[in-house]
Amino acid sequence: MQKLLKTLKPFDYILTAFALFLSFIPLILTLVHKQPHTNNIAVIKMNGDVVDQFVLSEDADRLEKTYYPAEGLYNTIEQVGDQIRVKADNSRNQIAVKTGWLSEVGDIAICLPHRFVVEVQGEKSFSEENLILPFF
Amino acid sequence: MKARELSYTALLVASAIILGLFESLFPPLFTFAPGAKLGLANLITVIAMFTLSLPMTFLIILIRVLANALIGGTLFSLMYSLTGGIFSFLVMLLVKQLGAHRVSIIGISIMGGISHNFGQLTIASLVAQSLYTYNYLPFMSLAGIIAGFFVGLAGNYILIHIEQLGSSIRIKHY
Repeated sequence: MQKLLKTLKPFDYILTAFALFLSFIPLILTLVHKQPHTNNIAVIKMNGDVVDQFVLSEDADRLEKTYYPAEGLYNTIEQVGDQIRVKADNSRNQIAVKTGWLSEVGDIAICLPHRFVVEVQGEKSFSEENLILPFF
Repeated sequence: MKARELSYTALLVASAIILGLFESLFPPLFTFAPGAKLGLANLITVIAMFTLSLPMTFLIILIRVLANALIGGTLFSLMYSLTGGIFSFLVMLLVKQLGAHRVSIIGISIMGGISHNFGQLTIASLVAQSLYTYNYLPFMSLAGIIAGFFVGLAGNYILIHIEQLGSSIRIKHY
Protein backbone atom coordinates (compact mmCIF):
# COMPACT_ATOMS: atom_id res chain seq x y z
CA MET A 1 0.00 0.00 0.00
CA GLN A 2 2.80 2.40 0.91
CA LYS A 3 4.60 1.49 -2.26
CA LEU A 4 1.43 2.31 -4.16
CA LEU A 5 1.04 5.68 -2.47
CA LYS A 6 4.63 6.41 -3.35
CA THR A 7 3.92 5.62 -6.99
CA LEU A 8 1.08 8.12 -7.14
CA LYS A 9 2.06 11.68 -7.99
CA PRO A 10 0.35 14.99 -7.04
CA PHE A 11 -1.30 15.55 -10.42
CA ASP A 12 -2.87 12.07 -10.27
CA TYR A 13 -5.10 13.32 -7.46
CA ILE A 14 -5.61 16.81 -8.88
CA LEU A 15 -6.61 15.67 -12.37
CA THR A 16 -8.84 12.85 -11.14
CA ALA A 17 -10.68 15.12 -8.71
CA PHE A 18 -11.03 17.83 -11.35
CA ALA A 19 -12.38 15.42 -13.97
CA LEU A 20 -14.82 13.92 -11.47
CA PHE A 21 -16.01 17.40 -10.54
CA LEU A 22 -16.50 18.36 -14.19
CA SER A 23 -18.54 15.25 -14.87
CA PHE A 24 -21.20 16.37 -12.40
CA ILE A 25 -21.87 19.62 -14.27
CA PRO A 26 -24.43 18.28 -16.81
CA LEU A 27 -26.39 16.57 -14.01
CA ILE A 28 -26.35 19.73 -11.89
CA LEU A 29 -27.51 21.84 -14.84
CA THR A 30 -30.37 19.41 -15.47
CA LEU A 31 -31.42 19.50 -11.82
CA VAL A 32 -31.25 23.31 -11.67
CA HIS A 33 -33.49 23.65 -14.72
CA LYS A 34 -35.98 21.10 -13.45
CA GLN A 35 -39.62 22.20 -13.35
CA PRO A 36 -41.24 21.50 -10.01
CA HIS A 37 -44.47 19.49 -9.69
CA THR A 38 -45.37 19.00 -13.30
CA ASN A 39 -45.85 15.69 -14.97
CA ASN A 40 -42.85 14.58 -16.97
CA ILE A 41 -43.12 13.30 -20.48
CA ALA A 42 -41.50 10.17 -21.84
CA VAL A 43 -40.37 10.72 -25.40
CA ILE A 44 -39.74 7.70 -27.60
CA LYS A 45 -37.31 8.31 -30.43
CA MET A 46 -36.43 6.02 -33.30
CA ASN A 47 -33.66 6.95 -35.70
CA GLY A 48 -33.63 10.41 -34.15
CA ASP A 49 -37.33 11.06 -34.81
CA VAL A 50 -39.90 11.37 -32.06
CA VAL A 51 -42.45 8.59 -32.57
CA ASP A 52 -44.41 8.69 -29.31
CA GLN A 53 -44.85 10.74 -26.16
CA PHE A 54 -46.41 9.55 -22.93
CA VAL A 55 -47.35 11.66 -19.93
CA LEU A 56 -45.79 10.15 -16.82
CA SER A 57 -48.40 10.77 -14.16
CA GLU A 58 -49.00 8.71 -11.06
CA ASP A 59 -52.54 7.76 -12.07
CA ALA A 60 -51.64 6.71 -15.61
CA ASP A 61 -52.73 3.25 -16.71
CA ARG A 62 -50.11 0.56 -17.11
CA LEU A 63 -48.92 0.55 -20.67
CA GLU A 64 -46.84 -1.82 -22.72
CA LYS A 65 -45.92 -1.20 -26.32
CA THR A 66 -43.52 -2.79 -28.74
CA TYR A 67 -41.65 -0.84 -31.40
CA TYR A 68 -39.89 -2.22 -34.44
CA PRO A 69 -37.03 0.18 -35.34
CA ALA A 70 -36.03 -2.06 -38.25
CA GLU A 71 -36.81 -5.49 -39.62
CA GLY A 72 -36.03 -8.15 -37.03
CA LEU A 73 -35.42 -5.62 -34.25
CA TYR A 74 -37.82 -4.89 -31.41
CA ASN A 75 -37.94 -2.79 -28.26
CA THR A 76 -40.75 -3.19 -25.74
CA ILE A 77 -41.43 -0.35 -23.35
CA GLU A 78 -43.48 -0.48 -20.18
CA GLN A 79 -45.02 2.43 -18.33
CA VAL A 80 -46.28 2.02 -14.78
CA GLY A 81 -47.58 5.28 -13.31
CA ASP A 82 -44.89 7.93 -13.49
CA GLN A 83 -42.13 5.50 -14.44
CA ILE A 84 -41.15 4.05 -17.77
CA ARG A 85 -38.54 1.50 -18.84
CA VAL A 86 -37.38 -0.53 -21.76
CA LYS A 87 -38.74 -3.88 -20.66
CA ALA A 88 -37.16 -6.02 -23.34
CA ASP A 89 -35.36 -5.83 -26.64
CA ASN A 90 -33.31 -8.14 -28.81
CA SER A 91 -30.06 -6.19 -28.75
CA ARG A 92 -26.93 -8.00 -27.66
CA ASN A 93 -25.77 -5.89 -24.74
CA GLN A 94 -29.23 -5.06 -23.32
CA ILE A 95 -27.94 -1.69 -22.15
CA ALA A 96 -31.33 0.06 -22.40
CA VAL A 97 -33.02 -2.80 -20.52
CA LYS A 98 -30.37 -2.76 -17.80
CA THR A 99 -30.76 1.00 -17.40
CA GLY A 100 -34.03 0.22 -15.61
CA TRP A 101 -36.83 2.57 -14.65
CA LEU A 102 -36.82 6.20 -15.78
CA SER A 103 -38.87 8.87 -14.08
CA GLU A 104 -36.85 12.06 -13.60
CA VAL A 105 -36.20 14.72 -16.22
CA GLY A 106 -32.98 13.82 -17.98
CA ASP A 107 -33.29 10.08 -17.42
CA ILE A 108 -32.54 8.33 -20.65
CA ALA A 109 -32.32 4.75 -21.89
CA ILE A 110 -30.52 4.23 -25.15
CA CYS A 111 -30.41 1.15 -27.33
CA LEU A 112 -27.67 2.22 -29.72
CA PRO A 113 -27.71 -0.65 -32.22
CA HIS A 114 -31.46 -0.13 -32.72
CA ARG A 115 -31.17 3.67 -32.58
CA PHE A 116 -34.01 3.53 -30.06
CA VAL A 117 -34.19 6.07 -27.25
CA VAL A 118 -36.54 6.65 -24.33
CA GLU A 119 -36.00 10.04 -22.75
CA VAL A 120 -37.82 11.79 -19.92
CA GLN A 121 -38.41 15.47 -20.53
CA GLY A 122 -40.07 18.15 -18.46
CA GLU A 123 -43.48 19.40 -19.52
CA LYS A 124 -41.81 22.69 -20.40
CA SER A 125 -40.68 21.45 -23.78
CA PHE A 126 -44.31 21.02 -24.77
CA SER A 127 -45.35 24.54 -23.92
CA GLU A 128 -42.22 25.94 -25.51
CA GLU A 129 -43.27 24.42 -28.81
CA ASN A 130 -46.67 26.03 -28.53
CA LEU A 131 -45.37 29.34 -27.34
CA ILE A 132 -46.47 32.23 -29.51
CA LEU A 133 -44.52 35.39 -29.04
CA PRO A 134 -46.60 38.55 -29.00
CA PHE A 135 -45.79 41.27 -31.51
CA PHE A 136 -44.05 44.21 -29.99
CA MET B 1 11.85 -0.42 -38.64
CA LYS B 2 13.82 -3.16 -36.98
CA ALA B 3 12.44 -6.70 -37.02
CA ARG B 4 12.53 -6.71 -33.24
CA GLU B 5 10.37 -3.59 -32.97
CA LEU B 6 7.98 -4.94 -35.57
CA SER B 7 7.51 -8.23 -33.74
CA TYR B 8 7.08 -6.38 -30.45
CA THR B 9 4.38 -4.21 -32.06
CA ALA B 10 2.67 -7.29 -33.49
CA LEU B 11 2.78 -8.91 -30.05
CA LEU B 12 1.10 -5.88 -28.50
CA VAL B 13 -1.60 -5.81 -31.22
CA ALA B 14 -2.31 -9.52 -30.70
CA SER B 15 -2.46 -9.08 -26.91
CA ALA B 16 -4.82 -6.11 -27.28
CA ILE B 17 -7.19 -8.07 -29.53
CA ILE B 18 -7.17 -11.11 -27.21
CA LEU B 19 -7.70 -8.96 -24.11
CA GLY B 20 -10.67 -7.25 -25.81
CA LEU B 21 -12.21 -10.60 -26.76
CA PHE B 22 -11.46 -12.09 -23.34
CA GLU B 23 -13.22 -9.22 -21.64
CA SER B 24 -16.32 -9.54 -23.83
CA LEU B 25 -16.80 -13.08 -22.49
CA PHE B 26 -17.66 -11.73 -19.04
CA PRO B 27 -20.71 -9.77 -17.97
CA PRO B 28 -20.09 -6.01 -17.51
CA LEU B 29 -18.26 -5.26 -14.29
CA PHE B 30 -19.85 -1.89 -13.58
CA THR B 31 -23.55 -2.43 -13.08
CA PHE B 32 -24.03 1.21 -12.12
CA ALA B 33 -22.69 2.58 -15.41
CA PRO B 34 -24.50 1.26 -18.49
CA GLY B 35 -22.03 0.27 -21.18
CA ALA B 36 -18.84 0.87 -19.19
CA LYS B 37 -16.15 -1.78 -19.31
CA LEU B 38 -12.87 -2.46 -17.53
CA GLY B 39 -11.08 -1.83 -20.82
CA LEU B 40 -8.29 -4.35 -20.45
CA ALA B 41 -7.16 -3.55 -24.00
CA ASN B 42 -6.25 -0.05 -22.81
CA LEU B 43 -3.45 -1.70 -20.87
CA ILE B 44 -1.75 -2.31 -24.20
CA THR B 45 -2.25 1.33 -25.21
CA VAL B 46 -0.55 2.41 -21.98
CA ILE B 47 2.38 0.01 -22.50
CA ALA B 48 2.72 1.08 -26.16
CA MET B 49 2.73 4.75 -25.19
CA PHE B 50 5.76 4.21 -23.01
CA THR B 51 7.72 1.89 -25.27
CA LEU B 52 6.86 2.78 -28.87
CA SER B 53 6.66 5.87 -31.05
CA LEU B 54 3.40 7.82 -31.27
CA PRO B 55 2.45 6.66 -34.80
CA MET B 56 3.01 3.03 -33.81
CA THR B 57 0.87 3.43 -30.68
CA PHE B 58 -1.88 5.01 -32.75
CA LEU B 59 -1.62 2.17 -35.26
CA ILE B 60 -1.98 -0.41 -32.48
CA ILE B 61 -5.19 1.29 -31.29
CA LEU B 62 -6.60 1.42 -34.84
CA ILE B 63 -5.82 -2.23 -35.63
CA ARG B 64 -7.11 -3.42 -32.27
CA VAL B 65 -10.42 -1.55 -32.63
CA LEU B 66 -10.95 -2.63 -36.25
CA ALA B 67 -10.03 -6.27 -35.56
CA ASN B 68 -12.34 -6.51 -32.56
CA ALA B 69 -15.17 -4.97 -34.57
CA LEU B 70 -14.61 -7.49 -37.37
CA ILE B 71 -14.46 -10.45 -34.98
CA GLY B 72 -17.43 -9.75 -32.80
CA GLY B 73 -18.68 -6.20 -33.09
CA THR B 74 -21.27 -4.07 -34.78
CA LEU B 75 -21.00 -0.75 -36.56
CA PHE B 76 -22.03 0.93 -33.33
CA SER B 77 -19.50 -0.88 -31.19
CA LEU B 78 -16.87 0.18 -33.76
CA MET B 79 -17.90 3.84 -33.53
CA TYR B 80 -17.95 3.54 -29.76
CA SER B 81 -14.55 2.00 -29.28
CA LEU B 82 -12.89 4.05 -32.02
CA THR B 83 -14.01 7.36 -30.53
CA GLY B 84 -13.25 6.18 -26.99
CA GLY B 85 -9.87 4.78 -28.00
CA ILE B 86 -8.70 7.86 -29.92
CA PHE B 87 -10.05 10.32 -27.36
CA SER B 88 -8.43 8.54 -24.42
CA PHE B 89 -5.15 8.28 -26.35
CA LEU B 90 -5.10 12.04 -26.97
CA VAL B 91 -5.90 12.86 -23.35
CA MET B 92 -3.33 10.39 -22.00
CA LEU B 93 -0.75 11.89 -24.34
CA LEU B 94 -1.55 15.36 -23.06
CA VAL B 95 -1.42 14.31 -19.41
CA LYS B 96 1.86 12.47 -20.03
CA GLN B 97 3.43 15.78 -21.08
CA LEU B 98 3.21 16.92 -17.44
CA GLY B 99 6.25 14.79 -16.76
CA ALA B 100 7.07 11.75 -14.63
CA HIS B 101 7.59 13.79 -11.47
CA ARG B 102 4.08 15.25 -11.65
CA VAL B 103 1.93 12.39 -12.91
CA SER B 104 2.27 8.60 -12.69
CA ILE B 105 1.27 5.87 -15.12
CA ILE B 106 -1.74 5.24 -12.89
CA GLY B 107 -2.83 8.88 -13.17
CA ILE B 108 -2.37 8.83 -16.93
CA SER B 109 -4.40 5.63 -17.17
CA ILE B 110 -7.18 7.03 -14.95
CA MET B 111 -7.49 10.09 -17.19
CA GLY B 112 -7.54 7.70 -20.15
CA GLY B 113 -10.38 5.72 -18.58
CA ILE B 114 -12.44 8.83 -17.88
CA SER B 115 -11.92 10.32 -21.33
CA HIS B 116 -12.62 6.97 -22.99
CA ASN B 117 -16.05 6.90 -21.37
CA PHE B 118 -16.59 10.58 -22.18
CA GLY B 119 -15.88 9.82 -25.85
CA GLN B 120 -18.35 6.95 -25.79
CA LEU B 121 -21.04 9.08 -24.17
CA THR B 122 -20.51 11.70 -26.88
CA ILE B 123 -21.29 9.10 -29.54
CA ALA B 124 -24.33 7.95 -27.54
CA SER B 125 -25.41 11.57 -27.25
CA LEU B 126 -25.08 12.11 -31.01
CA VAL B 127 -27.03 8.95 -31.82
CA ALA B 128 -29.71 9.71 -29.25
CA GLN B 129 -29.68 13.38 -30.28
CA SER B 130 -29.98 14.29 -26.64
CA LEU B 131 -27.67 16.08 -24.23
CA TYR B 132 -29.32 14.25 -21.33
CA THR B 133 -26.96 11.41 -22.09
CA TYR B 134 -24.25 13.39 -20.31
CA ASN B 135 -26.19 13.00 -17.05
CA TYR B 136 -24.57 9.57 -16.85
CA LEU B 137 -21.16 11.21 -16.83
CA PRO B 138 -20.57 10.92 -13.04
CA PHE B 139 -21.22 7.17 -13.16
CA MET B 140 -19.17 6.74 -16.30
CA SER B 141 -16.31 8.80 -14.82
CA LEU B 142 -16.35 6.72 -11.66
CA ALA B 143 -16.22 3.54 -13.74
CA GLY B 144 -13.39 5.12 -15.76
CA ILE B 145 -11.45 5.98 -12.59
CA ILE B 146 -11.76 2.45 -11.19
CA ALA B 147 -10.92 0.82 -14.52
CA GLY B 148 -8.09 3.28 -15.21
CA PHE B 149 -6.61 2.71 -11.77
CA PHE B 150 -6.33 -1.04 -12.17
CA VAL B 151 -5.15 -0.82 -15.77
CA GLY B 152 -2.54 1.75 -14.69
CA LEU B 153 -1.44 -0.39 -11.76
CA ALA B 154 -0.99 -3.40 -14.04
CA GLY B 155 0.77 -1.23 -16.64
CA ASN B 156 3.11 0.09 -13.97
CA TYR B 157 4.20 -3.41 -12.98
CA ILE B 158 4.52 -4.63 -16.55
CA LEU B 159 6.66 -1.64 -17.54
CA ILE B 160 8.97 -2.19 -14.55
CA HIS B 161 9.44 -5.78 -15.67
CA ILE B 162 9.98 -4.88 -19.31
CA GLU B 163 12.76 -2.59 -18.12
CA GLN B 164 14.28 -5.32 -15.96
CA LEU B 165 14.29 -7.76 -18.87
CA GLY B 166 17.10 -5.73 -20.33
CA SER B 167 15.59 -6.15 -23.77
CA SER B 168 16.05 -3.73 -26.63
CA ILE B 169 12.62 -2.31 -25.78
CA ARG B 170 13.33 0.84 -23.80
CA ILE B 171 10.93 2.72 -21.61
CA LYS B 172 10.59 6.27 -22.87
CA HIS B 173 10.92 8.56 -19.91
CA TYR B 174 9.11 11.53 -21.39
